[in-house]
Amino acid sequence: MRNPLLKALIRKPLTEAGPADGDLAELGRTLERETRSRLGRSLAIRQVDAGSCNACELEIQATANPCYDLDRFGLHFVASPRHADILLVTGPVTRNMEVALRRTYDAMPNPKWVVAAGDCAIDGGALPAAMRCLTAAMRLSP
Amino acid sequence: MPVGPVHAGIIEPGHFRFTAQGETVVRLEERLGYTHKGIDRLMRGSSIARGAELAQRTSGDSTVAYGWAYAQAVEAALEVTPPPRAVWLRAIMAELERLANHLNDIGAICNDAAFALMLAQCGTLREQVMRAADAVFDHRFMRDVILPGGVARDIDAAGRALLERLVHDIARDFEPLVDLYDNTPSLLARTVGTGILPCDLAAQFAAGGYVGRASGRDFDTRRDLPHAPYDKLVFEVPLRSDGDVNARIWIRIEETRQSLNLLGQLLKPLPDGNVLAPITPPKERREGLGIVEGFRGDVLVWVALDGHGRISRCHMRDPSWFQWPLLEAAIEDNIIADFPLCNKSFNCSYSGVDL
Ligand code: SF4
Repeated sequence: MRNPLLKALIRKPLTEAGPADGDLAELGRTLERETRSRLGRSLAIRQVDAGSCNACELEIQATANPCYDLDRFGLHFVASPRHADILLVTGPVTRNMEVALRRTYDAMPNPKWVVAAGDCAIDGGALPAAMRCLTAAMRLSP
Repeated sequence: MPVGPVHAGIIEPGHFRFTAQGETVVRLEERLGYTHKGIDRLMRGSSIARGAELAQRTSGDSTVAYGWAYAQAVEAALEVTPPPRAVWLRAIMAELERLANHLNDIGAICNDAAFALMLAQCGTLREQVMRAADAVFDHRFMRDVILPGGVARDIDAAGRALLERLVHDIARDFEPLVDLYDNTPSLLARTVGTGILPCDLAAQFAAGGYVGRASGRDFDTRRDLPHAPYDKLVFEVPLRSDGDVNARIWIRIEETRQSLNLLGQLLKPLPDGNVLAPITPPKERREGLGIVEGFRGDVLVWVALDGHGRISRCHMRDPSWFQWPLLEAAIEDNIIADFPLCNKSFNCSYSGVDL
């Protein structure tokens, strides 16, 4: 216990600085401005795996590790859809996840947004719409 | 008590039904299939190259293991031998993958016992592995690098040096974390004696990976069905028989050490030569089998090719097939609050089983 804690006290923080300029920084500023004016607080995200290969989840989990520390940008993951502004969908939306995804979406308060993460959720990716997969955005948009 | 398919964390979907007496679980039923994408069906009629793509997207954390097992199966069917350098590179990738996953798991299991410090520390180590993989193989999960016949990307001296530095850094930073785990009684109180999987069940179900090896099943394809390059490397297969969460953590810790050692050996005498052998689709029906030790256990791939260079059938058997039913047995008589801990210590794949 002592050793890593002590080390953490004396060495530089592991967390890296966010992008200072370029498109990503611009995007960050826009996002901050928009969420501040529309919500007046940080963004809450509920992630749902709708049939991904689990690499998407691992990468989303990794955004919370000390190197990236997503929370400091005002984006945090919540457990309940009732607390969420954004539904983050990964995977091609399998038929078996359709109902669960729809119910999660319905449980979220307005205003709400859906964000598709990864090729699978965006356009079916490498695991295409061939069998029973439909793209997330298509299914959920009214 | 129903739980899922949408869980609280950022994890895969599955439905669990607990029957509890007070806090004690008397029965657990797992319902899977939520991530069923029809991969077996998508494989039918696909080209060999497309099959490799699908295989590496079946269970993302085992991308390399799937890619390699699929490549082995196709190579067996076509009677092609991949160049030695390619096999060497595959093993480097497989060990990197094992390293990343074990580090992540050790942190995540401790996190489920409310010891977040470990997740933060292990998370940074894992991130180093992923970044190195990205720098050297151009993809954090090393996806689409393994192709039937060899590998798509070679590494240069700079890449080798980078990986050597990675192995050195991780070996240096990992040991204090092992000490931390071993010397935190409040954490051990949660893991020792929790979720015991009896040895006879592990043997009956032929459980592979850390689940089997923590419950006395002494099997590792790298040693017992040796294929190149593991037949030329020196390593040990850790084994325990206590079968609890603690044992599964220790097997992971030992395997992490072994992987670091293996990477050291693999990086030294990298054979020369090209990295991709030509593949000519057969004119008649052929079948092949491949088996590779992923971080979870043995990934088995069977492939049948028709006479026109297409896949007529292909099935990929994830090690989790044998581990999911055992989780039902291991959780019995534990309290519900310990389920996340037990579940994480098994860390079965949903996507790999739902197909
Ligand atoms: S986009 Fe699809 S294939 Fe890619 S990591 Fe996500 S779930 Fe896996």
